Amino acid sequence: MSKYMTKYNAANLLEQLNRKGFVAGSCLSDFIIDQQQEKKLPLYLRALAGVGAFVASLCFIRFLSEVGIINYKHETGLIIWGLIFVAGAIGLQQVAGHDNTVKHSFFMQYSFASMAVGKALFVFGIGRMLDSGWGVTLALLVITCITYHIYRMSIDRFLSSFAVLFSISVNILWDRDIGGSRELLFNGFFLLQFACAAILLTHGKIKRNYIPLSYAFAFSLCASVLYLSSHSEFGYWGHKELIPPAFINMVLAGGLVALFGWAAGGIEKLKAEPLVIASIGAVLLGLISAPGILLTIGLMVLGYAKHEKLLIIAGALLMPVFIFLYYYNIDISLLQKSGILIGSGIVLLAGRFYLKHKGWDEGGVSCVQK
Amino acid sequence: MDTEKHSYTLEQIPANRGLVEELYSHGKITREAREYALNLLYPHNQWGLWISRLLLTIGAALMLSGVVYLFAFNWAKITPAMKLSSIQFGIIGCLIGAYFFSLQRITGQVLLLSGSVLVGVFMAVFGQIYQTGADAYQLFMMWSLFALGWTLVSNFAVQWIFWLVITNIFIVLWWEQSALPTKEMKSMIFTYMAILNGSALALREYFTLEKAYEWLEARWTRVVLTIATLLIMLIPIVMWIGEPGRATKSVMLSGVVGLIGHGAAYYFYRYKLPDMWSLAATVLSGCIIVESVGFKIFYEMFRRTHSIMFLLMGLMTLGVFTYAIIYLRKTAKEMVAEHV
Repeated sequence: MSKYMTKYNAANLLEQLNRKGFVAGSCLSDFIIDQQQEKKLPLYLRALAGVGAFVASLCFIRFLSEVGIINYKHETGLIIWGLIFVAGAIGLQQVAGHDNTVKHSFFMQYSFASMAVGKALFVFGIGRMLDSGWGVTLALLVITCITYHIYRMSIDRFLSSFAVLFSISVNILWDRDIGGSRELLFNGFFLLQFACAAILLTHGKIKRNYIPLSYAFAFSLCASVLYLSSHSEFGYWGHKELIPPAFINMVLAGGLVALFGWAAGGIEKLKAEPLVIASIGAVLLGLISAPGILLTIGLMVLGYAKHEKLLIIAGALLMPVFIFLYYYNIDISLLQKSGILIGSGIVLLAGRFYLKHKGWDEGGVSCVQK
Repeated sequence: MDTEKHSYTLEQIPANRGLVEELYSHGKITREAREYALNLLYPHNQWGLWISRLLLTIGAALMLSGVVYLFAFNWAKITPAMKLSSIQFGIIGCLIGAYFFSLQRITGQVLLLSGSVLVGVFMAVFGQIYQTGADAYQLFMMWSLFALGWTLVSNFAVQWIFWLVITNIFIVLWWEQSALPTKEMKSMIFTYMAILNGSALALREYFTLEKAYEWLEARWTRVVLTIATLLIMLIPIVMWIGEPGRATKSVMLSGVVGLIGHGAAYYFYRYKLPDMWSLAATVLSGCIIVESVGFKIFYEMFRRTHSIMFLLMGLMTLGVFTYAIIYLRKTAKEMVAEHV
């Protein structure tokens, strides 16, 4: 049994809640059974579907181009064909139904490929029409907003939302026309993404439909942090601007403290000694460390608190990628980078030895309760 | 695509965080009920232990990376003797620490791993100072040899994976820098690497079945080794399919080894050691092989009419991946039924 599974089933849980007087009647049973009828497919199947749809959509785009149905020089045609494919994908999804048959699987795969083709053509068309990177962002935003609630496929929702956020970051970092305010815009956008991710990932009232969006924000934060790890100066040739990581560090350190409070059950719990120590550690890291380290810790703590393995894995993978990219950042000397890494390591190890010294590293009772 | 309809009873539905959050987000339970349910399902009494391990692993990783960066900077102000002796003290300190804390505990295991990393740093700095002119493969060969002894006694999966990474790099570099194979034999490297990583995977499965080493049972070790081995076996197969006329004997032999390896992985993870993630990785690799064959056939048949070629490729892709998804869904259900 996975450690993320529990020994309880829904009947046991309802019984316990009933015994404590939290629920009454059978309305919850019906609700749970109704919700469970539509069960999410495992991640490996969604990944397989994604790979298949990606390859198929590339082939279909090339086919359409070869037969002359789409012409990359005619933006209007691209947009119209894009919308036709998107509409076709939605139609195919409706026709496919929800039964577990060969027809359903084929139609859904075909639908996903059509959606990918349609979105690619639409975005390409608008991008060419507006002749700007922001045109691509606008097109991605429009098509994502239109399809998010109609087309109920989490991998499409995640990829489309992530594409919007990613294109905004790329435009902010490399667009020629925003020279002079690049740092302000990047920091502002990072803060906005951070706030959205925090709300979506920690607020209890967020509906299941928005889980892909929350992951898109989390992964976009990772992408932003990785940009900052690989470069310090951004912009176009000859007009590079420095984006210091101080603001991002501050946001992430503050977020880490808030996360500790949330995970412990409320901001007032931050007064407990272990959390005071953890918060001091987070602030220290914010002062001396790099954003990649702070975000890695944040994702792993959040994943552990939410029992979401994907976030823990994302955090664990972010760390080596960050260290690798950081090595090749030519804007900071190896000596400075070494100092930052060793300093951060010392803070974390000091925290670990303090935990051990206090005996808080033993299982049994929560260290906060202790 | 990512949902399917089922009929369940309450007893068949696992109670987990997702279920509780679903109830709370739809206003079916109060905040207090949510807290109670989550504490019931996940009594978070391991936070201290988990945080302690997180701090130790990330802290050690950052310290070691910092040390590697420092020596890569090659600071002229530090004398060669100081550089070498400080690393040696580091290695000895790690080994004494590992002995002191014992290899049964995470602290001892992390210290041993740190010692292994520092051996590589020592070799690199030694080469940097004395300009030995040695090939890079010799560094990795010595690194792999020096680390082997304590890897054998480590009881630590991460140490083993680390040793395998160093050894793989050694084999690749040795093949390119010392073995100097002829064009005909160049792709034999895929066979050697498949044997090395496949053997590691087979040993992992054998000792897990025998319940000999509990530390080997972590599922991630299976996933990492399966993906690495499948990838190594897939490359010569795709090369062979892509240009069969120019395929050398070593490509063909490695391709055959790869096909046998795929078959073995499928058989074991479907029937002997049922595991959906490893089976899905094998099926994905199989899909890529089938796609490569199909693309090659369509390319040869319709190289003058690209439109038909791309249309058929797209349709074939849909068919192949749809079949793979249907098969995996069916297999997942059978596996659940077999294990109830």
